[in-house]
Amino acid sequence: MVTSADTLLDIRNLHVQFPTDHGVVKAVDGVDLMIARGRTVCVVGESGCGKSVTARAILQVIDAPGRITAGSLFFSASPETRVDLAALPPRGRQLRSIRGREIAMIYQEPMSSLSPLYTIGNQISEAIRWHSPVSQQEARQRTIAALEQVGIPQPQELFDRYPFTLSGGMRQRAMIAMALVCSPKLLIADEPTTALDVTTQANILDLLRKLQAELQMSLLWITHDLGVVAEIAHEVAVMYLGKIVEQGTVEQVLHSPNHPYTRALLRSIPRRGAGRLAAIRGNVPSPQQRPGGCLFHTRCDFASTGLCDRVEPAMIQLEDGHSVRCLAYVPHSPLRLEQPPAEAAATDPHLAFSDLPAEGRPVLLAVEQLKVHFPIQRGFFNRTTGHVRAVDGVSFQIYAGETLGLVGESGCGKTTLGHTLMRLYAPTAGEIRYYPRGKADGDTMNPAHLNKRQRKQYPRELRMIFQDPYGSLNPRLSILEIIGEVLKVNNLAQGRELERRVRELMAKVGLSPDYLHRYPHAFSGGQRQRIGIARALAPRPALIVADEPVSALDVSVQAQILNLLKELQSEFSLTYLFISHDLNVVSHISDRVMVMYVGRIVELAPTQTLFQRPQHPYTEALLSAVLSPDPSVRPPRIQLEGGVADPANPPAGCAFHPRCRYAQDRCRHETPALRPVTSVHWVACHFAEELTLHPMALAVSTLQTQESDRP
Amino acid sequence: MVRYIVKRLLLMVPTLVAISIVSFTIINLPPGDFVDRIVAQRLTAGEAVTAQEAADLRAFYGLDRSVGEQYVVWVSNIFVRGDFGRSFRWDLPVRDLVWERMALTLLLSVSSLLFIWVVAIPIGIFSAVRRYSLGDYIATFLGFVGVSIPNFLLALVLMFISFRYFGQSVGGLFSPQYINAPWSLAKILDLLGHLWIPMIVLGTAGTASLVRTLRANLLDELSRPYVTTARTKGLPESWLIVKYPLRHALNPFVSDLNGIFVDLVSGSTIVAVVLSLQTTGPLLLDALRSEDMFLAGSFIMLMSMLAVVGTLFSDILLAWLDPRIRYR
Ligand SMILES: Nc1ncnc2c1ncn2[C@@H]1O[C@H](COP(=O)(O)OP(=O)(O)O)[C@@H](O)[C@H]1O
Ligand code: SF4
Ligand code: SF4
Ligand SMILES: [Mg+2]
Repeated sequence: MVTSADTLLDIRNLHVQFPTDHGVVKAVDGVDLMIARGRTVCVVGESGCGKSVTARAILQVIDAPGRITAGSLFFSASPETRVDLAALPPRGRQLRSIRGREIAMIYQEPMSSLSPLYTIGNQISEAIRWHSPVSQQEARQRTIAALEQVGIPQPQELFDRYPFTLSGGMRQRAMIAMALVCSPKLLIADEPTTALDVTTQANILDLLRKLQAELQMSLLWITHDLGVVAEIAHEVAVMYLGKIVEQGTVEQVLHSPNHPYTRALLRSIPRRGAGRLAAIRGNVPSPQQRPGGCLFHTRCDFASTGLCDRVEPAMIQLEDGHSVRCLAYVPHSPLRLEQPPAEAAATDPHLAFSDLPAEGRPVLLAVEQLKVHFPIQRGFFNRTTGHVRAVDGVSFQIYAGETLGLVGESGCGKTTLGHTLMRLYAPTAGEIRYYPRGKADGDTMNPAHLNKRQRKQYPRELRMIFQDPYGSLNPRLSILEIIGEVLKVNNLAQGRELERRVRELMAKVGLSPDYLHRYPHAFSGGQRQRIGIARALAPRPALIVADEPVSALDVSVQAQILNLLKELQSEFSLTYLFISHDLNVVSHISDRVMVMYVGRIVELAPTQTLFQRPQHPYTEALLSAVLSPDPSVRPPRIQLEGGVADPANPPAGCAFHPRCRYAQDRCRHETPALRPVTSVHWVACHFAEELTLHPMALAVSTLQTQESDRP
Repeated sequence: MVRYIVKRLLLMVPTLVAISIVSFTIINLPPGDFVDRIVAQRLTAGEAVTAQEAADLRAFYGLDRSVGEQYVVWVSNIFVRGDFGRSFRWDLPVRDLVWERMALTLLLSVSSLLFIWVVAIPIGIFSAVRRYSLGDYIATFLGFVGVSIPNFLLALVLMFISFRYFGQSVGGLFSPQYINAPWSLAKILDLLGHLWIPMIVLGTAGTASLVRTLRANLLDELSRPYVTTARTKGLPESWLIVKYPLRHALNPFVSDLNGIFVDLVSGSTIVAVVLSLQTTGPLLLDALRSEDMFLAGSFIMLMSMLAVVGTLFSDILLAWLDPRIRYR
């Protein structure tokens, strides 16, 4: 237990409210949280639960019109002093001298959190110069030292670079350097790795853990990812609708989760072998409609009417430091939190999907030596000075009815490949052949040369779902118009029939047909993605290219959408090309997985094989970067240094060789071809057979069994 | 940055050539030429002009040569000797007519622009930072008045005020005794004394619309993550606003700077007529009416060049303001 001398920040009964036109939003509603010196506390929960507002309240940088309405934030820079941050005027000198110097903060979006108008060095050294009277020269030295500390290879050179010339990972490192440059006692990190690739995320997590130990700094880490929690936290607080519902050490909370919400979050993590994911019902209620009684009762599987909707549970101490806010833990409570038995069966990895060779099924789409190059234009007359080889010689087949996963770090050409199939880009070389009724039938379409009939048919049969469900929906059109447009353009329905079809589609994707005349902004992220799916589904397609369809969603909603995609697949015999950088998601939904690196396929295998017996070093590194939500599983991580190679100027030989830990001389001149190592497993590595690579660690199952120990 | 500027300068060359061709062509569009007008004038005055006399006149003014030749002569004289040709109507070198007026036009435009910036930026910042305060409402109201009031009305009102309360001569950029006097310190002071009226007249609408644009831009920028980042670094609020959101908010405005500049140059014509200023506008109108082609052509060309230079200026400012542009 933490003694008061060890306490760095003591948040007591914090309330933050936003007065809005539709009433007061209670974003933070009585949070108590203690952060000890040198420890990491994670706050976890779905979006909109008040995590970010809590974090921002500490430095009083809440967006207008929010303000702290009650509570204290006792900060003890040294054991003898104690100041209530909540009582300081937000623009006053005292709070300013704490910001950046004693308490620093990093944010989710490394791009928009740095101004593109000033160099990295300018923005970092300014933090030093406002807090201590140092010369410009010294500030520069200290900035460069900080950049070096966060593992930036050429800090001198980076000092004078602008943020927009850096990759996401580099920018986030620069942000961290900026936060650390004054050696703060507390670092608040608001989802700092959410926008990054898995590999970069793993590097940043390792870096912060190392720095924390070195600098004896405390971390308050906000995240919605339980894998990150398991990786970095000492203590965890689970937040729901402005309140902490479960709190304890990371082992207590993740090994024996007690609150139904915590358990549900853990169960909804997509994983290999799981059939239907146990998604949490519905969405986080809008802050204007906070339920009475237990806040979670509208979505809780164990809620008991008459009790949970009336009585507001208090925080209940279970054992040293572990507490939970649920009525089932009140002594002599009639409530029992038992698993519905149906769950257990579906998690057997061998039932969910088969390793049967997909070759038995008809080929729906074949891609042959496809290249998509974009010219780089420079100089006075926009001369073409080179080519970005976004897709550089890719061949594969998609079988009818399968889900083919496509993974790789960002910038590897996944989206370009997807868009080329959709005819959004023209191939530079190579061929795409689509066989509407299977290859054997003989009717083929080449999207580069479609005849008049095919020009109508092709875009009906191949549809796309996008990552950003909001950006891809026209905000000025109602749902009826958005989905109906597709039917109208393709002459599939009109008038009453059109409306009937749209209602039917909405019901299929789990949207209430009452929403027919609403506009996109009235929907949550998950609902918008359902609209996007309905629109893709409207003309009865055969193949859907889904580009990161769940990456912007919370785990619980992600699980709902993944379940929906699986249901629709079996109902309409759909074929998916599923693009994602999240290997958990891909392992859950795919039959086969294709790994891409710098415009080429480096490995292609059935899911089970790929995750258990990867044979390409890049796949191995990707797998090792996947975080397990079990804190006791910490597989050795393979650090992938540097970024994805520049597709305009890929390294000679194997493009992966600068980052490959098995690279040999041969790899530097000779490009490995994609070749079969078994009839269903293709690898592009010279040493595929010789290498013994690590599979992905599997640990989620332990969580399944332990969670029903409790009441 | 230097590379960028050199590149922009080189790109200007073809634009300038095009402008000179277009100016020359436009002037040649109306049927008939200057000599036809002289003939018509003499006829109305009762004098007969023989075909031989007309041909001689044409030869004298070079109007008998092909259009292409006339163009080449015109342009090469400009570049070689700074000779813009001769105004038929005033019987003076165009150069003598044009330079002083060009300089005054430029002075008026640049000072109006400075007036706009100096007045609008602080008000815009205030309005955005203290949104919905009394000051913001007053600024918004005055902004509406400023945009809707016609320039000529404002000109008349200010002229009245300056005459009534400051005892200045009405209209013009100079008091009568200085109009044809050589340049001296006294003449410059006199000019500055007269300059403020057209400056305010020309600047008011621009100021009002800049306040509104800046307020809107700044409100957008103030809620951006990089502002919060700067705040969490512990920067004082006023420093932070000028360094980060203001510079971002000026960006769309600077890219529009050229438009304002052109507006000023052309808008000043009407004001100049009302205020009887010796700027370019009235003279150009006159030249166009009397088909004084060398004068009109030179004017159009010089003003277009001013616009091109204005664009260059705003682009360079923009590139300085926003490094992303230099990297494109
Ligand atoms: N500027 C704002 N105006 C009104 N409500 C806000 C504002 N910022 C956040 N909120 C509300 O506060 C609640 C908590 O938000 P947030 O802390 O961002 O959640 P999280 O970080 O857990 O995703 C949400 O209901 C959100 O709608
Ligand atoms: S109090 Fe009731 S509704 Fe709330 S979490 Fe516990 S069982 Fe579920
Ligand atoms: S070919 Fe060489 S460099 Fe490429 S992945 Fe295999 S071992 Fe590594
Ligand atoms: Mg958040």
